[in-house]
Amino acid sequence: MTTIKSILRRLGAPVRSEAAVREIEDELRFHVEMRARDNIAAGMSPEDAVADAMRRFGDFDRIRAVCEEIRKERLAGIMKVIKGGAWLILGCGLMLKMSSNTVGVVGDFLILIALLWRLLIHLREMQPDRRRATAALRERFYGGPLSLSGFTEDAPKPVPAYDKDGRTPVERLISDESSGGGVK
Amino acid sequence: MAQSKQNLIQGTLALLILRSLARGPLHGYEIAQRIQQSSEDVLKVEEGSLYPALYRLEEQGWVEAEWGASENNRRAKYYKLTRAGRKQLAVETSNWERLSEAIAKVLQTA
Repeated sequence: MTTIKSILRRLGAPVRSEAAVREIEDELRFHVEMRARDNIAAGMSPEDAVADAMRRFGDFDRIRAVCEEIRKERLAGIMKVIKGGAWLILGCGLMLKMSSNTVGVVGDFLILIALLWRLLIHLREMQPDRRRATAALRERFYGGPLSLSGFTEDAPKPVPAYDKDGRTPVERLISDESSGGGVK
Repeated sequence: MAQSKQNLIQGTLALLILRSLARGPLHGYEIAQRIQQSSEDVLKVEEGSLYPALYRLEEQGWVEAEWGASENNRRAKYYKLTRAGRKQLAVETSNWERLSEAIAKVLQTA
């Protein structure tokens, strides 16, 4: 049972691309939030806690992009198998259809399945550019409370998605810290 | 010099992650903490670099992930060793021990 669940999870998880992107964001964000929580518990101010958490984490966007690439590679491997399966069924269907009349119906059925299979693959490949979904998620992520929820008694202030220089709050925190200016 | 230090960490990160997961499922942040605490703060990896390594291990079938609730009731992704991962950990540990023994011998004799 565990093995079946494991196989289904491994096959199913990367197929839902938007969900996979969201999962990556959620996972990385969770890490930064946990580090910030520990920093606050150790006596840092919330702003310093976030800045330190981001510094320790490294380049958030780059890491997320690498994780997405790994997911895509995995997806590409699975899609290759799925496409191969469609051609295999189509071939079997054609062979059965040509071999004799008695199994011809089975051949028709297999050809139909293969064509539907290919159609589903084609529809999936026509889905909107994933970058748009990622951009929407980024907007939501950077536009919301970054890591202070649950720590301050007051509701966290909404963080603007980008500042006047076009930087995200995370990029601003990192660059402020690296320039020695501290968190504003 | 800096490059060789970086390579050493990259080469051993998978082993450290697998070893951290040997006792049971952990989320990424706990893995980072486990590595740092077990090494008594000697090993400090860039925490974000754990995730590409975890995804690679998952791709290879050595770990599997499942979403669950963390200790503060947040949704977190927990990683655990698979059977193949346990075997790989044994292989990697053995390789590492042989390598460190060999280096120790060279250092003693040189």
